[in-house]
Amino acid sequence: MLKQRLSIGLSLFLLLLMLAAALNAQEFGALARYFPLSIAIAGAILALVELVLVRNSELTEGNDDKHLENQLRGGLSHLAALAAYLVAITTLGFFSATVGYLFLAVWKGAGLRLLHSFVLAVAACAFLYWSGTYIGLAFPAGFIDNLALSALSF
Amino acid sequence: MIDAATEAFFVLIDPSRLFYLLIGVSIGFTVGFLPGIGGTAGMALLLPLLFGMDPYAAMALMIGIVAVNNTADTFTSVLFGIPGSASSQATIMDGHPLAQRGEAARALSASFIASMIGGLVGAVVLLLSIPIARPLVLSFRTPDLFMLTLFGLSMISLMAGKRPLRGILVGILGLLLGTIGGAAGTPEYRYTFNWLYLYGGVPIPVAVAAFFAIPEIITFLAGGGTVSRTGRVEKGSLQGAKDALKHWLLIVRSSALGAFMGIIPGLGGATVEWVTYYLAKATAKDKSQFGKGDIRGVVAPESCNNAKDGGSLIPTLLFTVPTSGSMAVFLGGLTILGVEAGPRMVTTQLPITIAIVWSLALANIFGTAMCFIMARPISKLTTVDANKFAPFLIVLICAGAYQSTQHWGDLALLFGIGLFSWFLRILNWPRIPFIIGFVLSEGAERYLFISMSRYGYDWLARPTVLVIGALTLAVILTAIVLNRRGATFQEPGPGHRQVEDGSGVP
Repeated sequence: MLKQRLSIGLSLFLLLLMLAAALNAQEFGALARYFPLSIAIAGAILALVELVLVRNSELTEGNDDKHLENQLRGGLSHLAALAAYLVAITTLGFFSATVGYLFLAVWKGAGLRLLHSFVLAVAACAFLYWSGTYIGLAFPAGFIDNLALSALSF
Repeated sequence: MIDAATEAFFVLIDPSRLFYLLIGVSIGFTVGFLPGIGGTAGMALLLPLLFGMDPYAAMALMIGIVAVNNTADTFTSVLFGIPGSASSQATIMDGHPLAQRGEAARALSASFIASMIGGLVGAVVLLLSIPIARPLVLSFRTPDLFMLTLFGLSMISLMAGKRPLRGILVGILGLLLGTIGGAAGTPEYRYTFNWLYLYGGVPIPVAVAAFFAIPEIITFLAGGGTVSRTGRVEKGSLQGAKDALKHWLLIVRSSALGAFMGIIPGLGGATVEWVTYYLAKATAKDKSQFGKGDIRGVVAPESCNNAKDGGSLIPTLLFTVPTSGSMAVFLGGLTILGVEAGPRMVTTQLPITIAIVWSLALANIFGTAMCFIMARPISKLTTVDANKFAPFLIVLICAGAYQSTQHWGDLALLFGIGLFSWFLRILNWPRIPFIIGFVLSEGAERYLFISMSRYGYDWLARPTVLVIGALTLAVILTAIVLNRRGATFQEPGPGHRQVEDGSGVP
């Protein structure tokens, strides 16, 4: 049931997305409009058909709702952690956020000791900074990273 | 041609480019070895680093991943009975029983040698196809290129799995996402919502990383535990090498079949492996040990899945028709480098094409050597808790995605698209069609626009257009027939075992 409900939700989401894309395409010029409009209309029709099919059929792929619930619970919590990490990158800076994320991930997630986790996180960031600088990578800077880099430059 | 081959060889063996080849081999080795990550995700990690790179070095980097992925995925197949990728399923049939009776080293070394030979055969096939393909591609016009793009898009039907409607829907979503940003043929921006970031469209590396790498790693983290419980590599490497050389004819035959089947888009590595496995069994005089630890059941599929890479590069490079998810990502990499796949690959960009051939050959040799060296320590890695290494992969993905435009929008899209793709994954919706649609979207619109502007509707009557159109219909009908027979495409996940007659993403 859960899987079916989620599939219905996904089909509905895609239908609405396609409809929105088709409506938005009306505002484009003639030459720019025809390709996305055609695709969006085709997508909307298919999404509608899929919605009807999912709603009317029993899922034959297996009704392992328990497994899906576990996947959802575990996956969503890790996705929330990822979201927090990305927000931290844009505010604090890449390296500060990464030290914090890796530290928490290996300390809480993998069960390593506090000191080991911290050292591992800092070492990984240091390696990333050194190798990234060598090959010319850019890292988002936030106010903590800027402070730290200013302090290190003295 | 010989001059181009010589030039490309000396360009490639420059130490700085060889260095990148080795990095690609290392990455390909790592993602091939880790179940469920796969070559596509590995390429996705790599794409952001390609910006501004020397094309030869970048090709070496990408080919290193592609070439070695199918060699390294043997580890978990043999040691733990878990396919390292969809292309190593058949290897489990005889590889794992060999490991169970203490002959893991023999199975591994035989598979490494077979993989290397297979990869070299694939490289030769690719090289030999260039002069044959050259006059063919030079005769292609824009309408023909549009039809080839359409043919590539029809692969979506083959890769759509048990529910083709979902696959097509996801493919259409990819097409739509590809229209964000500047329109082809007209100075107008679409679906930007006045956000300057989207004026350049959705960056390919971000889309690919979000669609493939994020869901796999999140699933790994959510599942927890170790990749496998046990793994040991005993002695017997020399015996395995002797076994491979003893069955050289089987290896060459399987390689040739793999290279040929690699040309056909949508077949997938698993299908190619199973066909070769069953053929090896059918033509063997003594079949009694197949499935119980017959070394021929290891060397045949392993040689073919490496040769397949050479074959699959032919339509990808010369006709912009990606034969698989990793080839679609590879095509995206070419776009980032400003290398236009198609007719130019056999004319002005011929040295790059031949450099790819050389890279494929060298990568297979280096990859085999690396596999031999890393056999023992790697077996221990599979007992490491996923929570200990997956967060580092997340960090690399985020750092890589940011290189696209160095804007926070890269990270926002990474998360948004990754979240959506993760939902697709847990609900068993196909995802490969998305990347095919996304990568081919711009080309499809551009070729169609030029065809209509130049020829009106007359281009629909061109003989090549009709032939390719018929082939496209044939692909779609094949997909329908395969679907009815149950022989469909299914994307495996971490630890996924698939012994039915289905193929999987390489």
